[in-house]
Amino acid sequence: MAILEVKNLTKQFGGLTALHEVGFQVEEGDIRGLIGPNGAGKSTMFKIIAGFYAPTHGNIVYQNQNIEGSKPHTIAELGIVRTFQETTLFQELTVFENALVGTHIKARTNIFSAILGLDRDKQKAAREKVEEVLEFMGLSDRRDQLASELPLGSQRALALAIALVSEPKLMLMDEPFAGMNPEETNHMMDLTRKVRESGVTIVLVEHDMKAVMGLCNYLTVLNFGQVLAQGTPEEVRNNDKVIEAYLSGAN
Amino acid sequence: MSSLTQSTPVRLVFWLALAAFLIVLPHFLGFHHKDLILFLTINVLVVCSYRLVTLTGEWSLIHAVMVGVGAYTATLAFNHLGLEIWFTLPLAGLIAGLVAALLCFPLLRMTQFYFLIGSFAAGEAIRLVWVEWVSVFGGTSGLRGVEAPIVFGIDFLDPIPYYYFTLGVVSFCLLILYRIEKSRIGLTLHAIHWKTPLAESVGVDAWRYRALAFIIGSFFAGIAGALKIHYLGSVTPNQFTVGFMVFVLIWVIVGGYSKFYGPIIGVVLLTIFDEAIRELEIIRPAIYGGVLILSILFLPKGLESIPGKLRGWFGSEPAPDTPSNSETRGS
Repeated sequence: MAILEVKNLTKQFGGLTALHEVGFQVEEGDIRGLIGPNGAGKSTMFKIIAGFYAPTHGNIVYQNQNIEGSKPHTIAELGIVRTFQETTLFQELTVFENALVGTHIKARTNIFSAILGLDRDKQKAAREKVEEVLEFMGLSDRRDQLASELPLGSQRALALAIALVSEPKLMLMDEPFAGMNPEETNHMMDLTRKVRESGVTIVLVEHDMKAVMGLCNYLTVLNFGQVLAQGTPEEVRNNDKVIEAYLSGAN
Repeated sequence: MSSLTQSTPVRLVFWLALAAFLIVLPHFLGFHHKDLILFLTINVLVVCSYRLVTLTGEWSLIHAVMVGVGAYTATLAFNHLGLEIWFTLPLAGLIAGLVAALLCFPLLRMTQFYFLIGSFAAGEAIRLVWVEWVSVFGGTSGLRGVEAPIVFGIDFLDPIPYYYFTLGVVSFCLLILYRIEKSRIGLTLHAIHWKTPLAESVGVDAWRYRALAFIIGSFFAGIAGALKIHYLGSVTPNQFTVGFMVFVLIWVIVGGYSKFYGPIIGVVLLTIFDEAIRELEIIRPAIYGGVLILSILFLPKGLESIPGKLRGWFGSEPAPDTPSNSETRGS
């Protein structure tokens, strides 16, 4: 069953068409790769799904519900969480506090409960959830360090942890492997598989082909804002149009 | 957590000593200095409520005017409705909070520099209402007639009982502000400050939280204004100019705003310092300005960072800002 369906999606910035009539489906349980040369529209696609941009026209159907144009926090509440390019973390907060922010949807409180401490049980449950996810991500040892002090691999793992504690159904990962050495890449691939096995559907934008081919069960290739090809990694790898697009991009 | 339980007796002694000091203090001061600590206590509430607004990373220039909204509310409520201080204080807070809530809609469409300028303009607009609408707000000469309350037969015109009353109200307000900051809401405000899009991506409605901080901060500013006016007896638009706002900013910045107690240290020490150089007459502003420049140059994180620095220089522990593991890559 499709958890996410993008239909005829177009996004224009002034005269520039970033995405043109893009359509694809993500099945529940997928690790779906969204690949393509630079400027193909992958990140724009992510931002639209996550509510940071509104599309010019077209629909995004998530669990039989139109979500295009909703605010990011509303989309997060429906169970779609994105991670960011580079290392987007709350740099001045500790690892534990970073992940604790991720429990917002379940642990948010009103001002009176906050002052009187009436939300104690809810906050305790949130902290337990955070401990559990930090353990899962191998970050327990670093729980009291500032996010800014972490090595790159742990920063990316923390970004995943923040998303994961919100208990998403669909996770959008934006270039989680960028700038990693082979060892870090392998570790991150293991973590991504673990997230998938815990029941989260994943859509991945990534340039690291080793990671993409190793992780994804299905790929959608974008080029100049349009869908160029779709299929299993094997099919895509042997697709003439894809080979041409990547080679011309390399020149 | 463990360090907190370890030092509980030390903390208890500290709080008891502080309470005793604040209670005994006015009896050793002259009339002028009694006034001074009274207004200082009120200004502590002003800076702490302002800090809540700045937690989201947005600095406004309207906070002084919100103090004024509270002051005018208390004055009008006293003069026209005959309300006692028990009612004028919360009412002043509520009206200031209400004004802030209405201002959220235009102001919170802006961020950063634009928010700063927008909040300044909105504040001046409110001040102009006080100046121009003479029949209600008394124009430039303001309103008078607020009497110091007499509660339980104690005349609050005497600065000492009113100081105790103020100390109690301010302490209670600080406790609430502290609990808000240490709660889930405080964490969310910090998160919005450091990375708004990341906070939004896990479901935080950033606009609502910025509005909440602005409204609650203004609520307590309003209470501070009412406390002030019940002692002064009269209110004018000139008490809440951007000049006063600049003092609030200086107190917060020099004290440091990353910890709850930073602005309190700032307002207390700068007020004492300003009083200590009172004799110097004309060159007083120059010295005051010089100290500000020095403190910003050498203590960019504020006076609150001094204990950490001292520990770094003299203690056996390494300074907290030199993490040993920040260079290592790979896990």
